[in-house]
Amino acid sequence: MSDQIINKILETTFTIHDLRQKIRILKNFVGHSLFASQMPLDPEVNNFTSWLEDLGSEFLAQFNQSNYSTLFGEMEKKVESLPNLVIYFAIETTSGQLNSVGKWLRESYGSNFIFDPKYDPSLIAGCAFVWKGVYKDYSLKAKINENHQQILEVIKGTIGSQNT
Amino acid sequence: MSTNTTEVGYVTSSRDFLIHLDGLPSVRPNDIIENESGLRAIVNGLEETQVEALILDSGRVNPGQMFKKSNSSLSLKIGRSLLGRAINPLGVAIDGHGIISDSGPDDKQMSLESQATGIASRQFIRNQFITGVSLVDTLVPIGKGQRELVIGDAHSGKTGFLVDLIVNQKNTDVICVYALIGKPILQVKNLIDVLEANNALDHTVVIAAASSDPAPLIFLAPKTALTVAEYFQRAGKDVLLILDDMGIHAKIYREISLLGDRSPGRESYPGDIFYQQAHLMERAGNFKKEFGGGSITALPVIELNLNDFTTFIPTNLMSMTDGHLMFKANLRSQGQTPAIDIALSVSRVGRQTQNRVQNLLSQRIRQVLAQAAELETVSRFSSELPYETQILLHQKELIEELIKQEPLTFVPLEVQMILMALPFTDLLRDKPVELLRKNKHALIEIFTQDPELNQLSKSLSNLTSDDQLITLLQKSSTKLQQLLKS
Repeated sequence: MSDQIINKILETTFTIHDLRQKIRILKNFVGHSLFASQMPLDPEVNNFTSWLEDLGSEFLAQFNQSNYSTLFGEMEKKVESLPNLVIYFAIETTSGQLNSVGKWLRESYGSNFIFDPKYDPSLIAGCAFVWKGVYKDYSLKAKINENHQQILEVIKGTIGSQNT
Repeated sequence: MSTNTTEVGYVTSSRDFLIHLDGLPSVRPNDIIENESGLRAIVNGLEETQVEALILDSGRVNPGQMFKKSNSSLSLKIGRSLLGRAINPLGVAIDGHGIISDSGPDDKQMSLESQATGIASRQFIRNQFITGVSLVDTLVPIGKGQRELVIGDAHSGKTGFLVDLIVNQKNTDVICVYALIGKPILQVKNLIDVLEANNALDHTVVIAAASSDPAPLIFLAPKTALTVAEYFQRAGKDVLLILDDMGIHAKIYREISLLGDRSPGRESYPGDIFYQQAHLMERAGNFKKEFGGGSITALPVIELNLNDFTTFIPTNLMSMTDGHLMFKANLRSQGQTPAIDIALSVSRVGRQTQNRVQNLLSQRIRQVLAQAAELETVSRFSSELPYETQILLHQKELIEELIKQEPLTFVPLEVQMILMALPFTDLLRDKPVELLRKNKHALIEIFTQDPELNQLSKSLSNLTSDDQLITLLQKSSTKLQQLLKS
């Protein structure tokens, strides 16, 4: 059952950070509704009311006092085992841009796909990513490093011609 | 489109110098990984979903940090240019004399983690390792390729003795490798200065990981020392390797293991502590020509706690070596240097390397010392002792005086034999011990420099028994008799 719940959340969630946050919010919201006296409502839940409404009452009805802890335990484990693509961007990305990247990745590589965006301005332009422990650098920085000598010669040539 | 591809892992947890990482799909134990700021770690173990690594540099690591796989594994470039230098276990110079330069085509990149070669590569230990210390060379001899544990209390003169050994090798072809494992930085500096002052650094490589260095670096120190020793051994050299001290090495490994959640065993040491130290000791030995032909004489050192040598690590080390030299602080305070307890010291290999006269003489001395020790108690209660007993006790006193040796002095093997035979001649029979004490240096000098007596010391190789040596000394020149009369 935990797989179905995760898949439902993944329909509108693309980054690992969002996924962890949504599960934490859901856990608090469900916990509050099941054990109101012992679990106060996190004020952050108010920012996710529309998302919780979109999940629907049928979805929330899957949780009860006896399966609450088991289901969330399983879900948290599942999140850590999801295939995770780390993408290094040279610019700070907006949530809209991240959603577009996420949707494209889902369409291209499957529904169970999650990614972890990171910001690395030293890349200058382009991006780098890590998949299954392998780092691939498609950035401008890598290109410059690769052609370091040639670039220096071009610059030297240009400066030389300007001076003459 | 070409790409820069490397393997990376993200730190999932960090405890002091131990980190766990997610990723790095093809790393192997002993591979080096590093983060963006150049902090290096060595892969220590591979778990089902995680990689365990030990941080080698000082610095802080937080979860989420990325480590990249470097192209190097745990190895060291070794050449003759290391002689006279002090390096850390990763091969970085620490003596302030600049970077280590390449020596030439004979330089070799050698892995620090290698298995000891098998029995087929080894040969019988036949040659004596001449220490220049009469007590050791005569009574507890060491063979080239032997592993002899140096064990003793704090302040019993172990380090001084080891420095003497290195200094005494300066006119031989022996290469010395001294590993200082987790010693205070001041001690490291002092040792380098003492060796330099005595012109003994030229044939020595010092490998030091000070107590202030990260624990994994200290743990690597004996591995680096053995690798450097193996380089010279494979070049056909006889190597003296000192590992000072293996007790600290064991404690550091205990720290690493406990941090890595390995279950503790006796005295909280992990189950594989014996393996960790034995596989180092096994790399020493005397090797056949096809395997380089040289030898590694290993002297692991351990400082005892409260004089107790029956604890876990000292007994482990005793069982993986071919004997031990037992140093006692109380002997040193009584004026015996080196403060080696002869009765408690053992050499299981060295005797086979001594010549026949030396061997017989050594047996005779041990017998006298043992008999005198028994009679000494009785003699305290008796006012008049039989003449034979008096002679025996006098011989013991003479021997005890002869085995005392000033630091930084070298006594050639032939002179050692002559000196140790003197108590059994008539020359010293009725002479007080003070006379010997006063003339000991003059005796050594006369036997090495006087042409007539020098000839006598050179003729010892023709003798077949200690009795012949004693007779020869009795008939020796008047110069010797005059010296002992004065």
